[in-house]
Parts: sequence; C-alpha cells; structure tokens
Amino acid sequence: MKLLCAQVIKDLLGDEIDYEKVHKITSDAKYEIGDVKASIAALTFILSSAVKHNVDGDSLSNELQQLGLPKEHSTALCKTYEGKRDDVRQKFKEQSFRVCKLDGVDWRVDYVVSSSSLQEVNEPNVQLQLRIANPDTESVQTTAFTVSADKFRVLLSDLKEIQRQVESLVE
Amino acid sequence: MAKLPQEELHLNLIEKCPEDKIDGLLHYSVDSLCRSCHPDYSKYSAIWTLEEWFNVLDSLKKILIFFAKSDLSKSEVSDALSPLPEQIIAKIFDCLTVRRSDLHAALLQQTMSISEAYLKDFDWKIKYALASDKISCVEEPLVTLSLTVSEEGCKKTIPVEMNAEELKSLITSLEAANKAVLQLKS
Repeated sequence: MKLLCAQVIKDLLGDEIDYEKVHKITSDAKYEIGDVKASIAALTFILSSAVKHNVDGDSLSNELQQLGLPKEHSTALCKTYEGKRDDVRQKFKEQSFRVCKLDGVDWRVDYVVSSSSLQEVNEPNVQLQLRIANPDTESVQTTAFTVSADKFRVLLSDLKEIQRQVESLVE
Repeated sequence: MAKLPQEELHLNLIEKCPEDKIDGLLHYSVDSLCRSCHPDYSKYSAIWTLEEWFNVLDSLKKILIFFAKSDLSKSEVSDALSPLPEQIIAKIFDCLTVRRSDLHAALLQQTMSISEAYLKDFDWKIKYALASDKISCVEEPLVTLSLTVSEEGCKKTIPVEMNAEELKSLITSLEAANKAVLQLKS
C-alpha cells in the first residue's frame, strides 16, 4: 500500500509511474490488471483531492476509515501523503492555470545621436526584450521593442506602484 | 546642411493665404504632425481649391519639419523662404518657436519608430487568484501587464502575466537599465 501510494505521488509530481514495480507490488496481492488500474485511479483521486483542499493527514485517515478502508491501509496512505504533501502542493500551485509567464528580460540602453527626422536627438532609448513563456505549450516567445526614455520612466514607476500594492495584498 | 527645395513647396499658393488665417493654419499643420489629425478644409475653401489645399498642407508640413529638424535661426528661416512675404515668414517663425517642444517630441517619436517596434502604451491590472482546478485556495496576487507595441503602423498587444517574484525580477532588470539611462542624462 505504502509503495503504491509512493508511485502515485510520483505521478502527481510529474514523474512516470514505474509499472514494473507496481506489477511486483500488486502481484503479491493477486491483483488483476483491472484492479491495478482501479486502485491507481482511486489513489490518484484521493491524493489529488486531499492536496487540493489541503487536508491534514489525520483527517484524511479518519475520513477514509469512515468510508470503510481498514485502519492499517489508511494510516499507510496518510503517512506517505503527509510526507509528500508540501511537495505536491507546490507542484499543483505551479501547474495552476496561468495565461503566460515572464521568463526573462534583456535590455540595452542606446543613446541616439542623430536621425533622418531630427538632426540633434541626443536622447537615450531603452531596448527591451521580453521572453514570455506559455506554460501550456511550453513554448517561449520573445518580443523586442524600443521604449523612449520618458515612457520608460513612467513604466518603471508604475511597476513599482504595482509591486507596492502586490506586497500589501500578500501581507 | 540640406537645402529646402523651394520649387516643390508651392510658395505662391501659401502666399495667397490672408494674414489673419495663416496663424491658425500653421498650428493646424503642427497638430497634424504631432497627432495625425487633419485640419478642416471648409474654413479655407474660399482661398484654395481642394487640390491646392493638399499641396499647401504638404508644403507647410515640409517647411515646419525642415526647420524643426535642424533648429534654425530667424535669419536662416527667412533666407530659405525668401520669396514669401515678410509677414508670413515671421508667422512661420513664431509658430516654430511656440510649438518647438511639440515638434521636437513628434520628431523624436518618428526617430524612435525607425525600423523597430516601439512601446506605444501600456496598461496593467492586479488580480488576486483565489482558487484553481488544482488547488482550492491559491491566494496569490497576479499582475497582468498589457503592452501595446506599434510596429510599422500596426498595433500589437502583448499580455504578460506575472506573480510577485516575476514582477520583482522585471523591476530589478529595469532598475539596472534606468541607472544606465540616468548616467547618460547627467
């Protein structure tokens, strides 16, 4: 039971289930292929729901016993669950739907001396390149653009204002 | 310095403009350079035909850009526009002086858009994510930054969603860039 739980949690954490091992564990109990499938599905459901609602190990064990799972099974399940709960939670948090992510920023500051439209420019310009990741397709898109010095100042001060508000939200 | 091509400028048409109307027309031309709006023909229909009107506008814009570009003195302006009557030259020069910063900003904008995408505008909003299909209480603030980038006249919106950490790293990068900008300015 404990080993089977460990395999399912491995799956939740994004690794592959080691089916050789699962076969070894379950053959002792004389499981058929359908039973194996069913038990893995049930464990996946129980564990992911528990993580979703952030249930602690004791409550989970009590609930499972009330549903009729033998005590030693519930305890074994909950021990594995307690051990990995924070890891799985972290993983789920990362997997939670995001439109896109900011992967990185590159910048360059240019000093424009002159141009065909203006003889004396003498203004700094900021070139920004943003790497925007799409977590669904795991592709990274890069966009580059120029920002005038004035706009850049506004952008930076706005971002700081946003940060201030975000920090007040976290507290 | 490049010479102003007088033969292309329809100076004889500009000359037809009554003195009380030239001021407004000049400022309209500057407006159209700065904000791509168009002056109203109906106010001037008595002076020029439509075709002449377009020529006059084109010429005025060329003249204004030419002088704003290199920041000429009054005598240089009057030399370059010598066939025009003195009053009109004076008005042109006055308009140039008054609207200098506007024209400068418009030309800066033009410089910036040379062969590159540039940031035209941006908007943002702060959201507090409560729950998701994976976690019943996410409780994490998220920021959406919407960047409007203009490339060769077409606008494109780039949305970026960031959590507190990503926002922090963005600000750190921009701070470093800002330092470089400030060093250049001083």
